[in-house]
Amino acid sequence: MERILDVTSARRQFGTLLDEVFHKGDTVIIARKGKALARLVPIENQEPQSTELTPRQRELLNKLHSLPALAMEKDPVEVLRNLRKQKRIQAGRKYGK
Amino acid sequence: MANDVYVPDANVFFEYIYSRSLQKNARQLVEDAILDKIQLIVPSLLLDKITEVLCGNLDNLEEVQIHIQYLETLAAEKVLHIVVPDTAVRMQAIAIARTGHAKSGYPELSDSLYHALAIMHDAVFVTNDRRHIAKAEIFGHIMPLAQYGWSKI
Repeated sequence: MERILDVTSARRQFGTLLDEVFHKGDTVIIARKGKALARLVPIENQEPQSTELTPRQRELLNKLHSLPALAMEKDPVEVLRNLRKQKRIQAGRKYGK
Repeated sequence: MANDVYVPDANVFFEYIYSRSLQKNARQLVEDAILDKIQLIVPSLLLDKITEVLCGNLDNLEEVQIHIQYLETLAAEKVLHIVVPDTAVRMQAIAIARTGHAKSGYPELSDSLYHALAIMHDAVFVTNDRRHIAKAEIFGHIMPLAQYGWSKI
């Protein structure tokens, strides 16, 4: 069941609302001056569901999880650091430092 | 639109490309961006940095190409926002790179560009480079990749 409550009423009975949402699975919309601002929903409803994914998102996720793993024994952070070091040495030689 | 903005270092992408110990965290970051939970901003040098390291895998050029193409797709789909650093970002990067000591060393300018981009966009620089974190964490806006995921719980 979904119902709308203004912010003052929601604040007064917040603990009760939490019980209703958690135990009964109700949804409460909190409004201020007639404008809906937030929705209180059971936590399990917050989990992203595969049906909510757009085709574009699904495709990107599938690609991400099917990317080939490349092999490298060294730490890539160290590899990058060494590449920079080599460039500095080369530049130093070039400019006579 | 997601409010949380992150600037991932090139080494974040290497974690899943090379199936390293933090690949789960790295994939989670990219997944969250695909699902619009967060925004990813990267400086334009990211692809060059990644290509430079991938260049070492001369036996698997097809697989290297797949990874580069995937990053291009992420950029085309606006999952990865590629930014050319402006003067303000570059000056901030220089300020970061000038901190440190002659003995313990200074932060690398290219790492500092990522970090500066995060500072100027009120974002968080995510990196697996502990040395940079140790040298430049006084500037804030920085997080080790290992903390990504559980830090949001």
